[in-house]
Amino acid sequence: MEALALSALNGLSYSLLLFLLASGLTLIFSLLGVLNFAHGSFYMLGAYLAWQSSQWLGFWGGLLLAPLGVAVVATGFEVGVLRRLRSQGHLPELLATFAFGVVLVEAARLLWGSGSVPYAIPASLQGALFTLSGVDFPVYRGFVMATALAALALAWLLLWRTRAGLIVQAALTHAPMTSALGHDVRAVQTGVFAVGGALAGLAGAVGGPLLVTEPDMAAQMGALLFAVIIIGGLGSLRGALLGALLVGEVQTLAVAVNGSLADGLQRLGWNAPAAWPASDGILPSLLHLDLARAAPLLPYVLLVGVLALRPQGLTRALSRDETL
Amino acid sequence: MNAAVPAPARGRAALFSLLVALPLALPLSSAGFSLLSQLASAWLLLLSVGLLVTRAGLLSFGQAMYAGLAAYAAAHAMNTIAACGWPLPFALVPVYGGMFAVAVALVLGPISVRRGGLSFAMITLGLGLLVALAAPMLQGFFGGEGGVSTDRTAGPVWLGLDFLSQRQVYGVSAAYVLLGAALMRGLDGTRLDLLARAVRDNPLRVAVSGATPRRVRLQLVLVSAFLAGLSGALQTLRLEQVSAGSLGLPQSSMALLFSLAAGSGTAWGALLGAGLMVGSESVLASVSQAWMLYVGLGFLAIVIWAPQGLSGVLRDLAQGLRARRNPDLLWGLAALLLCSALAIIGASSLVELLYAVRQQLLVGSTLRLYGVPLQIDSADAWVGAALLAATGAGLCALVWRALAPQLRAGGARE
Amino acid sequence: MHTTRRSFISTLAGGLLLGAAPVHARQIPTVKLAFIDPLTGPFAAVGQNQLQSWQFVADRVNRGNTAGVRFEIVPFDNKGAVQDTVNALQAAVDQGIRYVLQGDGSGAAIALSKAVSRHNTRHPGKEVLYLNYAAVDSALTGSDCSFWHFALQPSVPMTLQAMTDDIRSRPEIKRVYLIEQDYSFGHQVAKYAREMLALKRPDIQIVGEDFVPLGQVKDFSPYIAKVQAAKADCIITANWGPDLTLLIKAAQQGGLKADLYTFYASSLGAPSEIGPHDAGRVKLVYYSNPNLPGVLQSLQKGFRDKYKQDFSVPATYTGLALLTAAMTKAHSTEPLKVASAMEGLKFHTFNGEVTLRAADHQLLQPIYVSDWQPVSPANPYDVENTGYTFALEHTYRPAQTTLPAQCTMQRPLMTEVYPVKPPKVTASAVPGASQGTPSR
Repeated sequence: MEALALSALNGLSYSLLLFLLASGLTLIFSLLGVLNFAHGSFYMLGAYLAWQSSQWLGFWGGLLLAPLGVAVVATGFEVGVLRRLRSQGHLPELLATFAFGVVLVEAARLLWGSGSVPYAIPASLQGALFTLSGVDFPVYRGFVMATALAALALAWLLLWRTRAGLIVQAALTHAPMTSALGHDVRAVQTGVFAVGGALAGLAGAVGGPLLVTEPDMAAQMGALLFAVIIIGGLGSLRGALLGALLVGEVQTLAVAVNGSLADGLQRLGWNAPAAWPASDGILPSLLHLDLARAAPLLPYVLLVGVLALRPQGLTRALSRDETL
Repeated sequence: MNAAVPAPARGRAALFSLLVALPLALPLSSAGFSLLSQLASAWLLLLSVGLLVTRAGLLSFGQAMYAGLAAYAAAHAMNTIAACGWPLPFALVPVYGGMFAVAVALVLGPISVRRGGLSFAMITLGLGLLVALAAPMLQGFFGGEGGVSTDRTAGPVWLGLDFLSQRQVYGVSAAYVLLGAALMRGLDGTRLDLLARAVRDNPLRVAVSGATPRRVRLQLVLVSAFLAGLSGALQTLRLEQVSAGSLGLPQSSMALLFSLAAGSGTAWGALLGAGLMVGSESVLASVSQAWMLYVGLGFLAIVIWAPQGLSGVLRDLAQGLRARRNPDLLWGLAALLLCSALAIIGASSLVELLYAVRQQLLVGSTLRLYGVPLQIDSADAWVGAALLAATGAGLCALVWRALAPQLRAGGARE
Repeated sequence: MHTTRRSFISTLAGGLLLGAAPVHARQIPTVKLAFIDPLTGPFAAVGQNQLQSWQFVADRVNRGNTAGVRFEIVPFDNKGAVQDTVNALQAAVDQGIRYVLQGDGSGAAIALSKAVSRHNTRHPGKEVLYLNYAAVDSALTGSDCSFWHFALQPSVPMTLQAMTDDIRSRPEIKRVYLIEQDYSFGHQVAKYAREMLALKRPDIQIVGEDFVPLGQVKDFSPYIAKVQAAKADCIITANWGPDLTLLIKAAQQGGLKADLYTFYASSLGAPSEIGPHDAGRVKLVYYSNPNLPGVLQSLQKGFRDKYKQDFSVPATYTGLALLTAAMTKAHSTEPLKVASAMEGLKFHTFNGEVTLRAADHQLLQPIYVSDWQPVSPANPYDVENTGYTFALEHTYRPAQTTLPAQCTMQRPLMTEVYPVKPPKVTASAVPGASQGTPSR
């Protein structure tokens, strides 16, 4: 039981890291209507910038500089490329963000090499926060959770309690009107893109020591992020949080389940046909697949399931375009 | 858009068929034919993607999944035919692959097509990822991580085709390319085609008019799955090996992105896209470490100067040239091409030098670029490349400034 | 300087051990070796390091070897994908290259082995020899074995023999957990581990078994939690790449007390991720150890001076030692003759005298069990500048780890390898005389 509680807590820290990443992505989508394929690369760039800065300014310096650096890069891209494509529709924007993501990864390869860099947990954050039945819960994971929650709180504060935030929200749903009222909607769009990038950079800065900092981390996170924001519902921070929690916890807790569908069916009295090497069929193999083995696939099973049943995601209402 | 085929379109169709059939008469090497067969498979895949994008406004991240599953089915079919000695020619195996993909689409399609737009894209993303991730874990059909291997020469010999040479493989691939092109031509102007465009533009109105948007989308998905299946099975014929890597997300994304970059869902657009895709993934990758960077930069350039796809821009340009027959314009364009070639040579040389220095994969310190041996540790090469790039770019800017009013005056869209 | 000369002499001596006369070369023939492994894509770092290793070793061997040949490494990028591997083979063949080197990825290895066999069957006289220097899968030397494929890395059962022997000698280990990657290689590891432990230490319990899909799991903490809940004393894992480094990091963060027996803890980048922690808890079961005396030290130093990275693939040196020894014995660089010469060949490499078993073309070499420890005078090599090293604990001779071969391969006839020249027909030829086999 305690092991399960600890697992759930580990899953929570993983979910909150995912949420930090996904929040930026969903913000960018809600304002610009474009799926930012470069988001994984922003995450990677954040990790590398944090590591590089930490060589000169220490871990905390890196933590501060990384989101700023990524925000600068994101702003440059938005102003230079994305703005021109606003009138062209969503497909060119998709192509542009993908291309930019690729360029960032190659630039990282050139600057820091193709292998991983030893971005490690700083000494002040090492060790265990507490121990449950012999298993440590690391201080660093608690730090990741705290950072993600702090970022969420800050974002909520900014969006709901400041004038600028209200303008951003207005621009989200009523861009022409907001523009007519005299606000610079284009600057708002650039700003949101930069903030989204900064959030991804922050996620990279805290995620790098937890995971591995290498050029491939961009691609590794990419698909999972889309699953998170779609499940939760595009364009809503609440949805990103819910999606991240679902994906993280399901993936983590499923590892603890050692049974498969065939085992469950057996308990009900029906013996499933034998799998490989006795037979070549796909269906028997699937039935005998342990849930623990299938755990990393569950986010995508969830994705397909949610989209099939509730295509707008879990937290949003159906918009007119999506009824048919 | 009417059913009668106008003369220029017939001429283009004849030209396309000629282009496809021509290499069979040329004395190309085995590697050359292998590359052309690869191009043919890529063409079919991009056609299947482009079909969905242009005619139904659907972005599919799952086409490589259909192609990959058909590839596995084809490999199993070829192995079974060889083992049991059935008199079925391997040349028809791609059709089986296509039908297999259609069968898969009948199962997975209905889930994906309930809504259009982003929802469709994300479901195909999820399904494609699921299949790609589960494949190495399921030993039976997928043969584990090593995949399934087959022997294309082990089948019965029909019409003299024993598939020993790559030329024969290309011949069969070319036949399927023409089949695909005919299929596209047959689709033009049919009820399905018109309904699909209507669903893309306004599904509510279509539903009110009596047709079901879902069913229309599904039918189009079935057609595109067939084309993707042909592509995958042809790939098996060429490589005699299928593995889980072929049905992954990177393949689907690349197909989608090259299709968007090339633009248009026609045979010529797919040819341009396939040429770019195979060119960068196979040809460019074999000569340069920096090919991914070039692909990214190339996409950026295309998206800035030709946001709706290259083929649209090229077509407008061709029309503009034909319409005005201005010799100055032609010289100007030639000059532009020359300058941009210089700039590209210079810039790519810089990139290659950078990669060579960074990755240290050269024996000695000589890098052969465009036939010229360069010393990477001497400043001459770097300065030379930088100067070339700068000069080329500068000249390009000048020529463009002189040329742009002429182009704009003619009313041509850039 | 001293060690370089000594190692050069030892290499020369090793080649002469065969007693074969050196080849008199009027001009030095160049043998091209096609290197087919990822140079771009997610596995680029490892592939680039491997290419650099081959180039470095070739440079050394080219300075003088008993076969009197010059090796040239021609790189082909397969991006880690099977399709591109087959394409690369085609490209190499078209360039006239007769030797292929590959090691990154068993999927690509199996596909390459089959493609090479197919090519050789269809084009007799233009055969290609495939030297597999790192990919491991039982099928390669078992059900899918081929005359043209040679395996330089120990097979799964060999490594596990050494690993389970080491576990057997430690009575404090009673509960073992298996964490493997979810594909045929990982399943083979799990299967052999269970069988061997049941045989050697029936009192040991396998308290858990988990398979992870390749490269998909970011958070290994739930797996560590399971290991800790099962109170395992050690984990056996053959994970490589991020699946290994993330597992080790999660183990560190979770405060795991169990030992970790690994196959690939010395692969590029892994030691840096382990870091200066976990002394005595991470074990490596591998065909090399960075503190081995002899030519390995000079190779490591030279490589690090040139590339600022560790020489983590010593199989490259073994590969060229094998090729030169075989070419010396065969007096030829023809793949058919060289392959025949390789069968059963005993030669000298950095980890002593090794044999290439004829039955399944598996190299039989020592396997070392090492322990991640701080650097000490007995084990001075600083791995990836962490201040730690793999301290050599136990050496297992081939006789202790080898299992019987499980391969029935089709071999070319000796008359194909060494064709008999037809006798000269003189003016008084006897009518009806039989003709000899046509020479190649």
